[in-house]
Amino acid sequence: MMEADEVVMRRVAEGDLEQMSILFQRYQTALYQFFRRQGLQPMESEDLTQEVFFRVLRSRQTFRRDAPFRAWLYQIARNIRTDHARRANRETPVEEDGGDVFVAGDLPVDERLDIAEQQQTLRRALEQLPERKRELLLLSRFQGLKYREIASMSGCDVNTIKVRIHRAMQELRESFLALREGRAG
Amino acid sequence: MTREEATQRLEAWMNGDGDAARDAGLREQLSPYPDLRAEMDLWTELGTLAVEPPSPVLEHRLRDMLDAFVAEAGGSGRTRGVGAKGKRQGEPAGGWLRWLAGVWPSQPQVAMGLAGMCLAVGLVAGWMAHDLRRGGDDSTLRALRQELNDTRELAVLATLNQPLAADRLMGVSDAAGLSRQNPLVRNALVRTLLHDSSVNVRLAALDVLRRDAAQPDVRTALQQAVVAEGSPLVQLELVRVLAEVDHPEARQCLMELMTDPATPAVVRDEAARWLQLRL
Repeated sequence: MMEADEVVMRRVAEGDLEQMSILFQRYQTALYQFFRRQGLQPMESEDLTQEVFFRVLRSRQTFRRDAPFRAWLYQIARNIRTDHARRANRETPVEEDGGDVFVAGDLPVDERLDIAEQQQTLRRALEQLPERKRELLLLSRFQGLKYREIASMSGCDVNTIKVRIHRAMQELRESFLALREGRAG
Repeated sequence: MTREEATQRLEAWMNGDGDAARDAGLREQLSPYPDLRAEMDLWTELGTLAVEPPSPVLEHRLRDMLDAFVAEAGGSGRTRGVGAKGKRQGEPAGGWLRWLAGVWPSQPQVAMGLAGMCLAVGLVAGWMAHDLRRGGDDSTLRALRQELNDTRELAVLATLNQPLAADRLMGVSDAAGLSRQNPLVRNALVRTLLHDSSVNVRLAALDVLRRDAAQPDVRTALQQAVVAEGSPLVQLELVRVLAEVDHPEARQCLMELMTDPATPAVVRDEAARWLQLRL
């Protein structure tokens, strides 16, 4: 059975640094994709992923025994993202090709193109969301964080997070429909 | 189901708290509330948006960083971390390089300073080598030469990660002069070809990789690149390189590119022309 992240991290904090490789395996792809979905380039995303783990290792003694690991990890990732944006002194870049579109190869070509176009529109709608709302959806939908984990990161209660996610989804839907209609028109 | 219950069920489902049996009919149960149902559909749709995984280089970089922390914790007595240097006995030079390449500073001023230090180290090493040559100690001389070569590779890898396209172009140009058998440099060039945002840098990387195009790992990367590439200019050049390779898989890749309606016409024509020449 897979050991909980918190158990592994506690061992790291107690000095068994080799255990950190377990957390690398579990989170390197997720963190990389977290940065990529925020519009960063592949190389930047890899650099920032490494920086997250570097800070985890450097601050391992400060990991609270009762804290959820994922919330702590993503809090570090958010801080690094903010620092990076500040250093670069620019708005969050939005890529024209913010990722690949994967569509099942056994579908007819027309259907594949429709799905690919739909995904592209949704991706653009997501990119148009204000940064905080987009980040909330990224954490919840793509990184799989629970409401309570996001709440502990944000310093608010679970109900507030539920409401914020609901509002972000509403805004995403409006933006998605507007883009789709614009395209059709 | 009341609206409040439906909202709670949807929230639990989105949070991954529901159970499969109950959730199976959730979409139907939400039909009296079109907005909630639309939210459920959009949440599902969001899950289809994929992003590529990181390159294998990241795993090496993390491993090397961890090695550095383990060495420090092991009481080597040296302060190590990002930007710090050190080499343990028996550690392969490639690993040390990979780690240092990952932590090379991105700010040009700091990078220049560090490059200056590397140059100074090189000069001292050269002076020592001169002395050693007179003493006839060949193994030490070889080791020093290796260190100098490693430093050069390191500088190239660092330049390929710079934010300015002009700097990265310089990195690609320097990479051309390095050993063709160096997998670290080759991986970095492949990564540049696949992911760099600048067309010029991608073209330059392709130009360097062209001479190794027959190697299976490079050929596979070129096949991936020709499909994923967004610029017809780079695609055209990739088609030409793959045609020169003249491998069955490369031909198959060009064939698929030629028949894909999403491929720009000019690229399709070029692929067809080369295939005709090769058949």
